[in-house]
Amino acid sequence: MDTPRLDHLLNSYLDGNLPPEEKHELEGSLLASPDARRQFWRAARLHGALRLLGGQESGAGAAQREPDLPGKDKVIHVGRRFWIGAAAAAAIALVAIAAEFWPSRNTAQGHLAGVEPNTPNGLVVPPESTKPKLSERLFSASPHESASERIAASRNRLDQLRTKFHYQPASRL
Amino acid sequence: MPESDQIALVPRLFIQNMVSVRGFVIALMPDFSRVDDVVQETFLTVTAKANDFETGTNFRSGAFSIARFKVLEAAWGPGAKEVILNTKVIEALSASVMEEPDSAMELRVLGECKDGPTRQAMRVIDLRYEQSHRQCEIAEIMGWTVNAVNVALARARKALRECVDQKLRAQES
Repeated sequence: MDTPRLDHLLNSYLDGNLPPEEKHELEGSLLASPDARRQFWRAARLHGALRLLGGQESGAGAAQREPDLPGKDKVIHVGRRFWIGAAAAAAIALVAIAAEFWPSRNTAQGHLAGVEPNTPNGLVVPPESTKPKLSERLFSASPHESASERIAASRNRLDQLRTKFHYQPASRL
Repeated sequence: MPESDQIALVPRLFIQNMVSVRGFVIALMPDFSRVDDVVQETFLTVTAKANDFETGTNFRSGAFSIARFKVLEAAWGPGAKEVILNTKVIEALSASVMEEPDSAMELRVLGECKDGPTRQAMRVIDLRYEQSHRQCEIAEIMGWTVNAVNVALARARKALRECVDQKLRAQES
């Protein structure tokens, strides 16, 4: 396929208006030609970078700009929204880690409460924790569980974490 | 590495590779409205698999693999659009992802190049990437035909790509 034709198909694809027959043409070309795949990634990388840059500018400048375009109320601040979502997700992960590994007041009290008066050398021996680790609670699987059951179980546990920490995916923010 | 360090390291690596992962998802799924959800799903799965990550292995490649599954999942889900490429093509493209230049530098250079094209061209680019308008909306705003918008977008992207390539080559040498 010649370069201008591939350019045309890639532009239509990236703009989301590739008709079905041209989609098949593009797919055939991408499957057959390493050069076409290279061209695809060049175009796609620019598309992604422009979107990222646009999202940052949209988020950073939105507060200062006056509405000057029809349909401006339809602006979606995806970049800012994404970072809020990512920060929320990262916060969930950190809180979960902290909750698991940070020595809590209750745990310390538990250790002290568990001291035996006759412990040799007076050392405090913490009782063996029976609580499973975070990773075990999140991803433990019985050998009888199938992969799909394990994925479903992991999803449920993630949903529980989301609920517990009031996490909403970005699209619902 | 202790388990707690491992669990903390993986989200950090994900944030470091965010631009690449996001670019990868946008390339395979040019519909902006679903990209954030797919990237967040990828983040949740990557962090859920933190224990499986082996230090010294290619984190980005693993993250791309998970992102590819999430894109395919979204492609089969409700509201999926025909424009997503077929599974074989997505797999062929994923196997040929180009080595990327420094993403931060590429973004900076792209920001510089945005001063290059004509004012009209940059307005179209901003409307598309910053304001998330579709071509028919841009046509209405600019008072152009949809075809003229498509041509302007294609030309502006070509000019930006050439400018970025030229500046990156100059920096390398």
